[in-house]
Amino acid sequence: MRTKLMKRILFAVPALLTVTGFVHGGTPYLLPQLAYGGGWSTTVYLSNTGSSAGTSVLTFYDDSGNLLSAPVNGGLPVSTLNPALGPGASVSFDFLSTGPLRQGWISLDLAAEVNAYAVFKQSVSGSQDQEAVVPLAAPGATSASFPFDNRSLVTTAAVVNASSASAMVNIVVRNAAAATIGTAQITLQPRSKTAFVLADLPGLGLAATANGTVDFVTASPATVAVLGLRFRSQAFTSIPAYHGPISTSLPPTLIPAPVLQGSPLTATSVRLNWTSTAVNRVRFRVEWRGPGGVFTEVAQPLAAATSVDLQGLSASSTHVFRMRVETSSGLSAYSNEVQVSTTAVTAIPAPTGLRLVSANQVEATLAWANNAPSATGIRVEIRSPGTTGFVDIGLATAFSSSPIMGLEAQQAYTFRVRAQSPDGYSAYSNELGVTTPPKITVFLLHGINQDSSGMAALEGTLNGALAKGRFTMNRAFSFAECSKECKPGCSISMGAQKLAAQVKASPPGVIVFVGYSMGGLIARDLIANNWEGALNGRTVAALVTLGSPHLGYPYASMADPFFGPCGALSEQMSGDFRAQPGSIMLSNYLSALTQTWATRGFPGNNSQWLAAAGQSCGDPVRSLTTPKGCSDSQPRNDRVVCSQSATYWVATPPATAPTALWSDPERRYVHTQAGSYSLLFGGYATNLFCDYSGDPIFDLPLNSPPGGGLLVTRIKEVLDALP
Amino acid sequence: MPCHRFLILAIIAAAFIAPAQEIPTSPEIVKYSHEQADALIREVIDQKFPPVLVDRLAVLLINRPAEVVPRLADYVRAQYGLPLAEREERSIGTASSLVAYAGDETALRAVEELIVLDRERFTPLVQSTLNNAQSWRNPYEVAYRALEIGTAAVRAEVEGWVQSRTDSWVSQRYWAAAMVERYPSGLTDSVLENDPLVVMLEPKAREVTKTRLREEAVRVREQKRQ
Repeated sequence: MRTKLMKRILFAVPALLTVTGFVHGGTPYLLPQLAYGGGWSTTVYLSNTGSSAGTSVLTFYDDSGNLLSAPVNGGLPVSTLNPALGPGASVSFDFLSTGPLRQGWISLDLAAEVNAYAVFKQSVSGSQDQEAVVPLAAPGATSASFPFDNRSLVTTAAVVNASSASAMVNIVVRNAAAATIGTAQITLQPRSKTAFVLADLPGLGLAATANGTVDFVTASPATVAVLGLRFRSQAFTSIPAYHGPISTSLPPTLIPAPVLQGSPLTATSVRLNWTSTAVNRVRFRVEWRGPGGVFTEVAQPLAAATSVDLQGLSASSTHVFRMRVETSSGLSAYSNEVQVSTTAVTAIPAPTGLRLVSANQVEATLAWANNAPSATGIRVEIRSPGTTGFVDIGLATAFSSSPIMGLEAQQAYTFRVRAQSPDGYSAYSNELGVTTPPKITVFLLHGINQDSSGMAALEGTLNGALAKGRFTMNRAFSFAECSKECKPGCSISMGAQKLAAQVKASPPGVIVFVGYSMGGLIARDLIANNWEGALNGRTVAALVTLGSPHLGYPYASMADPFFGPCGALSEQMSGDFRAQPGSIMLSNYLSALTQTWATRGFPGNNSQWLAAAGQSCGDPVRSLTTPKGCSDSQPRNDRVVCSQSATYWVATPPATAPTALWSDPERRYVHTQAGSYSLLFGGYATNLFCDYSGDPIFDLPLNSPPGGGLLVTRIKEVLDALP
Repeated sequence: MPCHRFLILAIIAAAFIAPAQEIPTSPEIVKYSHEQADALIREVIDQKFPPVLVDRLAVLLINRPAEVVPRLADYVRAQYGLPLAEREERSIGTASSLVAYAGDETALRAVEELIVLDRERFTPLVQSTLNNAQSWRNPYEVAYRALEIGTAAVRAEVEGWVQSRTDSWVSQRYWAAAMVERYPSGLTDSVLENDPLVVMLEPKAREVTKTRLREEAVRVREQKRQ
């Protein structure tokens, strides 16, 4: 953008400027444009038409208002000339086309009756020279105007403020019918000059194809002197501007400039403070100029602001700032310029000792030593599997540790951290490789009279409840040949051995057993006996038993319409709390399992065993013919299994009892549902204790509890807490 | 039959949690008036589905699904009308899970509406509904109903559910029982060839399943006669 603007302005330079007319001694006329070098040259002519000699003074300025030393007539550079002309005498001064392009303007303090003019010329190899004549700008004018024609032409303007005050200049463009088609405002520092293509100024776009007049108006003590030019390809000519009162355009309202101060904050930031008395402020506009650069707008503080902190500056450098206030009436002049030097950057020490505190399938906790007291935060970066670069994932939650979420199981990640401070970043810490463990396999084990479909509902519920990405449900275990068909020779240990084969065939890693009713015993049988070495090299992180008859249940006779077909299994699960007060009569199988269990050491100190019991029924005595059942002191049961049995409520060696109990505080959970389709299985007599007498009220089955309910919430708490 | 023997174990004295008087029993919940049921639903929603109230609502839900399921679906719809940052995600998850927990046609219809809101999130609820149905009724009767009323998305989920259960002996018997009710004249070749669930099976599994269904249908009829 800047390159383009410079080119356009260069084309706007008048090739030859002529100053002419009768002048009065000592009055500072001016030539709004002076260009020489780079193929451009200027010649200034003076002649004395009076009857007496006189000395004039010519002073040269560059576009910024500084004195310009020019090699007039090829001599040594001078910034002023004092030609003395006798009556009838004349003189010319050449500013040659050699060397780099220089631009500015000329102040002429002409002696009485001395006339002056200048010619601009552009010389391009292979083309004819182009020249133009321009009228002398009148002194002390606060307004100027010239007609323009942009119909197949391009109009440019050079505007000079020859005064010692800043000038805000309103520019108003009208079409030939006097309708305003654009307005703009520019600001000129004392004795400075600017040149532009008229239609390029913001707000004057409609002038690009129009013809009409353009007015330039400022307020005293500032002045304006304007030179118009128009171009058609390489050809150009000057446009005489009128300098004098204009009743159609108003001068800009003087808006007081802010007063600016600045001080360094850090090696790369500064703080600017200001005061402003301007009314109807819209915002402030802060400009910055770095070493050797030009001013660029870098901030627009709000109207009520009185300070701003600017970050990201280069250290050990001098920065210059200025600002102006934008009001509903326009922009103020620029404030004073302030110069602020930033200090050298102090090295920020890098964090050290990046290490892994803990990790599961989807989360890792990292820790490190923060060595930067000035740190405002620690940034964490991750390199994910299959990628080559690190990615910044944000600020750590603390200065010396942070959890990292959103990982995936069985993946290798690399981490590094660095300190962030107002002065930048430290070097990186050591890199840390973290491999997340495989997903935890959760085996869902059905109960008697079921197959794997009996755990389908729980599978879906747990999938929705448990932490995402950590668990894999495995519902493949089916013991239907015994639990439903009760083939000869069936035993719970057979189920455990079948489960062992499935465990061995599953992916390596931590496992969990969730066993419903008999499924809980099958899991315990496998844990106690480690059939086929299935658990070698594996960790059983948790066991969840749901209404499992760890201490048996008062099984029905072989004639029982429900358990009759599977009498061998139900006999293995028999137990009676009423046979002898204070003790329990167990089946041979449960007796042996209990003794083996005591030596196995599960759950120990590192695993979990949640034993859940339903308590929907308060009747201690089964409703069939024999007086077996729950103890009188603790009669609650789930209609099949006494709560004491389901919670393994016995004296056990240390670390072999459940680590967590869930005992149905609202008494809504039943062993299984006795729905209308129980008849399908030849009498689904699940109510060994309480009997609703056919009342078709559904309760909550332990093998398919509602998601979000008490039991699922407890299971979730135990499993989500696994490391 | 193996002999039992006594294993002397000291029973640890323990006081199980006694029910507080204000805790309604499940039979009481099932007999709630319309106003009491409405109050429970509103309380659960207002308190953002606390587990203890979820269990009470679940009892009401599975016994009176027509009253509860639409209210839960309405709640989820209302939540989806809120900006993402304002939604109660955990409550949405629990409410939608409870809808499927009902395991009946009402639940299926509600799930179908929820799928319109969020296809990826709620489509799995079709199979959840069928799995939960097994606790309360014959899930294959619900599956047949799903084919009659469901959209293509629902039908696709039913297909996946049926195919996942071809190895389940229990499921085959449920299916046979549903067919005995659906086809009183018997499971002829023509009936099985044209059954809308059977045709969803892969050819190899289809033949094996047809044989099993015929065998199980015989057992079902025998049990019904008894």
